Amino acid sequence: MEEMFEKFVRENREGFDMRKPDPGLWEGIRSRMKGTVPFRWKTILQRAAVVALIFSASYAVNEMVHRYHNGSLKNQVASRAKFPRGLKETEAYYTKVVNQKMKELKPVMANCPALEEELNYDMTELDSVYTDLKKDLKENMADQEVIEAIIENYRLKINILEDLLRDIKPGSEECISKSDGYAL
Amino acid sequence: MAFYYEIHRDIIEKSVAGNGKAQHQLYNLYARAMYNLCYRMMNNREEAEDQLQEAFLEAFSQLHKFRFESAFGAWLKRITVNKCINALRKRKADLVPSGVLPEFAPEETEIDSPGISVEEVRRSLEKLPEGYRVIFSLYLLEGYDHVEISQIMGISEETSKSQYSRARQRIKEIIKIDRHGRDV
Repeated sequence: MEEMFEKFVRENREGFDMRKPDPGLWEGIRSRMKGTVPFRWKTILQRAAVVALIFSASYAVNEMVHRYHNGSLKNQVASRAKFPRGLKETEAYYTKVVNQKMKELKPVMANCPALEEELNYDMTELDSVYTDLKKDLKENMADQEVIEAIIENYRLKINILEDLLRDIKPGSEECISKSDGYAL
Repeated sequence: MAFYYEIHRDIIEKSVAGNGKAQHQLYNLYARAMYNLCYRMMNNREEAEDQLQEAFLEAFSQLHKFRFESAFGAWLKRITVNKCINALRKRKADLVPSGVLPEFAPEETEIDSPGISVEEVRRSLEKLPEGYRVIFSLYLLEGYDHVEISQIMGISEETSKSQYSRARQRIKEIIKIDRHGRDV
């Protein structure tokens, strides 16, 4: 049975929160938030999804129109022949940059297992988008939109990695504490 | 999976997107409750402010992971409690004090609950040993049950129950001593 004392405390619970935090505390939090990981890549990924959707829709329309009006195989072959070499070089460049950033990030992420896991998950998602784009490129004509989407995919990866490199400091306690569980 | 209806969902979603105004709004909604929680845990204004800042920084960096499966306040509270517990551990606080209760035997310390005031309980809470104060606060003021407290503090459920019982008893003793002191 609940004691009178406990009943009193529960009934007067609000009275125990009489202290007010210093109004200046928010400013401290706000300024430090600039130095923490903003997780902008979630927004970036959402943008990537939108880009992929717009791309798919415009691609489908474009293909229909293209086939209807000028849909000769000859045109498609010519178009395909025009891009691969440039794309190959571009991809080699971006792959090198991504690998370099990943290498730089590795020691920084040593204390951030939760963050690393999330990064790996997001990179896998982008890899999956990339695979689909390459498939489109292989199966259909080398449309400029596909190439742009592939390049955008690389840029998104680089943006994510650069954000992390900028915002996480090696051995930061912010990262260490991220592995603390607060499952509810 | 059940979803909790979150009245501040809009503010939370805007905060995730990096909207500074929404983040400030979210802080204002919960800062006072969390500050009082920190104060009770740390028993010191500066440390309470430090932990409040750490808790909000953590919450904002993890906000994208909040899935609206529980109340936001409960999620934030758990982060705040974890921050305080970690800080107390760092300063090597004795979170499980010995069970010796000097000065009064339990049967001598019955007080008339309707006669006590919030201020008396609050002041006596500040005089409790760290472990008692934390368990008392988590159980009676923050609404955690002993199973949750045992998980938070890494102690057994039985220890949590017994420490709470001792803390409650000690508070009554302190109130009695203080009243006696005023009467002299």
